[in-house]
Amino acid sequence: MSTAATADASSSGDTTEGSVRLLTLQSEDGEVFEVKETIATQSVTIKGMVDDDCATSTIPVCNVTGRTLAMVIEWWNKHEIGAVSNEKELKEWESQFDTIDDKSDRDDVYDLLMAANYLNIPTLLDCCTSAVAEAIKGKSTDEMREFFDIKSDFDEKEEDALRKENQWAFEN
Amino acid sequence: MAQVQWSDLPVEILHIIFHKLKDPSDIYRCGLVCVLWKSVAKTVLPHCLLLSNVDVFKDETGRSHSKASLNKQSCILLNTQTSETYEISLPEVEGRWFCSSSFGWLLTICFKTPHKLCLLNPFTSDQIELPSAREFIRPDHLRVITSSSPLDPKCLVLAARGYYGELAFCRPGDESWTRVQFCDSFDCFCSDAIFYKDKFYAVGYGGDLFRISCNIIPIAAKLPLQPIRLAIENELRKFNYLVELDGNLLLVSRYRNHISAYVTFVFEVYELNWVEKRWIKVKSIGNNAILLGINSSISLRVSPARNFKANCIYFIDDDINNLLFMIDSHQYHTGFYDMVTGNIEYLYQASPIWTSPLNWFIPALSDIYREKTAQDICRDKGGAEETSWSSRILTYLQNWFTQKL
Repeated sequence: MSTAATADASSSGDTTEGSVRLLTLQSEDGEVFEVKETIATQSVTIKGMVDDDCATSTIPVCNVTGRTLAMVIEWWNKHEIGAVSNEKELKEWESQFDTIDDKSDRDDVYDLLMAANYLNIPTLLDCCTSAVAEAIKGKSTDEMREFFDIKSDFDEKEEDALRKENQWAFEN
Repeated sequence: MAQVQWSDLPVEILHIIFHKLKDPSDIYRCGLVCVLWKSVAKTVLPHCLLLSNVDVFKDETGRSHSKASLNKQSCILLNTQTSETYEISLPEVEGRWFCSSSFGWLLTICFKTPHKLCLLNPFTSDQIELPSAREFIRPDHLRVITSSSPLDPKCLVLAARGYYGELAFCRPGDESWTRVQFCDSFDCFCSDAIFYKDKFYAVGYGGDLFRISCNIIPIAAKLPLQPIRLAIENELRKFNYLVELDGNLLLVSRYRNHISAYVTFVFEVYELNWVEKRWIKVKSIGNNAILLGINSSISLRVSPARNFKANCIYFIDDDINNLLFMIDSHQYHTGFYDMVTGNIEYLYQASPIWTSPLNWFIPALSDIYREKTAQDICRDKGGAEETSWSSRILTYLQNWFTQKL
C-alpha cells in the first residue's frame, strides 16, 4: 500500500514524485496520507477541488477516520487503470465487501458508505450499496432491525396520520 | 472512530440501496423498519399490475368458464416501470380467488362455499376476516374497497359487483354483510365505487351518482345532478369509473365497440361541479395520468421516476365478463389513451398471462409494523384451517389492544 503516513509538515502539501503530483489528505482524526493525484481524483469531490485549484494545501477529509481513509485509498489503488491485470481479479478482490454478515464487516461497509458518499466515489458507493441490498433481501422487518441495530421510532401519532393518508398521496 | 448508526444513513444512500432491491416485498419490509426508511421506501415502491387468479378457459363446446388455480400458493406482480414480474409466496391464497382491494391489500375469496372472505396484506401476511360471500351470486366477481387500512378498527368496507353490481357494507368483525338500500332510483346496478372525502360513492351504468351513508341501514342516495349528455350513443358498451384527481371527483367513461370485439376505442372524462350540480367535460388532465381499474382507479402526477405518460388514461383488462366473452383477443384491452391526440397504444401485447383479469396494485405502506406474535409465525406453516383460526385470534387481539389504548 502506498499510503505511508509521511507527515511532512513543512511541505506545502503539493509535492511531486517524478511527473506525478501528490495530494495530501488529512483524516478526521489527524492521520495524513500522500496520494497520487491521478488516483485521488476517482473522488468527484477531490477532482472538483483539483480542477478549481483548491488542492494546493492539505485537504481535510472530515467525517472520515484514518482507518477508513486507508481502505478508501486501497480501493483507489486497485481501481487505478492498469493496477489490476484483469476484470476477474478485480471482482475477486471486491468480493471481500460482498457479505456483511459479520458485525465488523458491516461496520466497515458503513464507514466506507459514508466516506464514498462524502468523497463522491461512484464505484465504491455502488459496491457498498450492493452489499447492503444483498443483505436486506429476504429478511423480515424484525431481522433487519436486529441486523442493522435500528430501533422503531413509529409512534401512535404517526400511526394516526398514516391511517388518514390516501394511497395516491405517496406520489410526488 | 465514528459511531456506526445505520438509522442515520443519508437519504440519498437509502435511495440507491432500495432501488437495487428488485422485489417489491423487500422494499415494503424496509419501509416498516423506521420512519426515515419508510419515507424513502414510499417513493421507491413500484406500481404493479396484479394478476388475479380467476382463470378463464373454454370447454370443448367453446363455452367460457372461470375457475381458480386451486393449488397456487403465490401471487404474481408485474412492475409497470420495468415490466419485470415477481412471484410472492402466499400460502394464504391456496384454494382462493384473489384480487386487489384498497391500500395495497388483497381480497381473497374461498373457492368453496360458503366462500369465506379475507383481506390480506401480501407483504406482511396480516389478515382480516370479513363476513363470507355466501349471499353473493357471483363471488368470483366480487370487489371490495375500504375507507382506511383494514388494520384500523374503524375501517368501513364496501363490497361491489358480487350482486351483479349491487352494493353491500360491513365493518371488520361483523357476522354478515348488510345490503345497501337504494332510494329514489331503479338504477341500482353500479359499475364502480370509490371512497372520496370520507364517504363512499358509486356510479351507475347510466352515469347516476350515489352517495352511501354507512348507518345501521346503509342507504345509497342518488345525487340530484344534471344527466350527462352522451357524446356517443348506441352500438356501444360503456363502463363508468370514478377517480379522484387533485381533490376533485372525476367520472371516466370507457367505450367499447360492440361489433369489433369489445375493443376499447375512446374515453370521456367529466369533473363534478358540486355548486352547479353537474358533470363538466374535461379535455385535459395536464401533467397527470389516470390508472383505471374497477374499484381501484387512481390518478397520479407524472414524475420521471414513474414510467407513465402525462395526460394519458391507462386501462387494463379488469372485467372478468370481458374475458369470458373475448378470450382470444386480450391484447386489445390493456394500454393507454392519449387525451390530446385521442390515440390508443396497446401495452404488454405479447404477454401470455392475460387469461385472468388484471388489477392495479399500489403498495401503500399505510400500516405500522408490529413485532410478530408466536401465533403469527406458526401461521406460515399451517394449512387453511389453521390460517383462519390464528387470524381470528390475531384480529381479536388487535381489536382488544386498540380498545385498551
